[in-house]
Amino acid sequence: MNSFDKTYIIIPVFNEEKVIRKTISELKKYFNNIIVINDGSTDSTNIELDKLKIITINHPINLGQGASIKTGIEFVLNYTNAEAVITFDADGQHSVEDAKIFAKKIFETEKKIIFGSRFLKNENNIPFLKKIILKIAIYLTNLLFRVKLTDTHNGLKAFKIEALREIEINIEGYAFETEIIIDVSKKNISYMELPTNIIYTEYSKAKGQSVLNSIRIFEDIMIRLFKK
Amino acid sequence: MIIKLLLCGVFLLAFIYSILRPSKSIFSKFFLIFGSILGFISTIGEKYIIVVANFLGVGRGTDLIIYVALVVIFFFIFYTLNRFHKIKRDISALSRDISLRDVNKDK
Repeated sequence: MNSFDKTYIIIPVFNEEKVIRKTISELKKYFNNIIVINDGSTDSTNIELDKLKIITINHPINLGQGASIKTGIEFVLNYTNAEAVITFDADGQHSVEDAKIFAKKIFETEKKIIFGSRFLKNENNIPFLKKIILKIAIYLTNLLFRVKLTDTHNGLKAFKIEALREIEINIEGYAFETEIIIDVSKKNISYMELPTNIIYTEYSKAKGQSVLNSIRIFEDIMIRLFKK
Repeated sequence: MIIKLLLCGVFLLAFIYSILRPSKSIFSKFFLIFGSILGFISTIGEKYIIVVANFLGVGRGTDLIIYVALVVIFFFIFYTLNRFHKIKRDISALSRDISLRDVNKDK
């Protein structure tokens, strides 16, 4: 049994009918255990998913990316014997080669989480405005939660299964990424970073996080901070 | 004078409703009772409001009403947002349970 067989890929999906088949087909060449959480898609994503031999979990309504990841994690913890999990975006931004590296490294390292970073290599790929917003978010996150990360909102991550038992996701939206970092900081969960090569296509840029989303993320973080 | 009568009627109804309405939350009951009494007094008893305003060092009774109203409104928004988030969390948990129960594992 190699490291790819012990690893589950969690992919949250919302209205990705144009790219979902390609994304999953690429992953399926190397990974057998792929879980897609269809987060209340209203286009033909579910029809595309039906054609693929993967585990599909359908949210009856759109709950958000954080809620989808949480559903995936609950499924992995309760219904599988996975030893590691990789979170992967559905919009074709992430490279399968990176996922393969993450799947190998999570078993080689003693660290419990591997965060993907766009700023270790390939920084020039990032659109200018996005880079500015990300840099501000990274600076504030490192300052507020006493971590040392070069990228705080990269969807590509690898977790050892014991790390997933320690992390609690309560934020339904994009800000769950910060929530994970808060838990990492509070519970002293060991982590490392690996470079990722994000492919920014016109499609992924249109689907990605807008400035408005950054404000929503900030709001979610504030709520989480004042809750605990 | 008509507007005063109308407002008094509204606040009186709100007060009766707050007393009769079965409520799990003491906070919301208190909020309704306190709000309706405050509204009633500020409509018909300007002189009492002025006395309280002077005691607190606020120039006019109207100013005091505005300050109190602002605090109440912000408190209400905060309370409503909290309730809204709790409902959202409950819906998410419910949806997740349904999804995991229905998951098609035999694909």
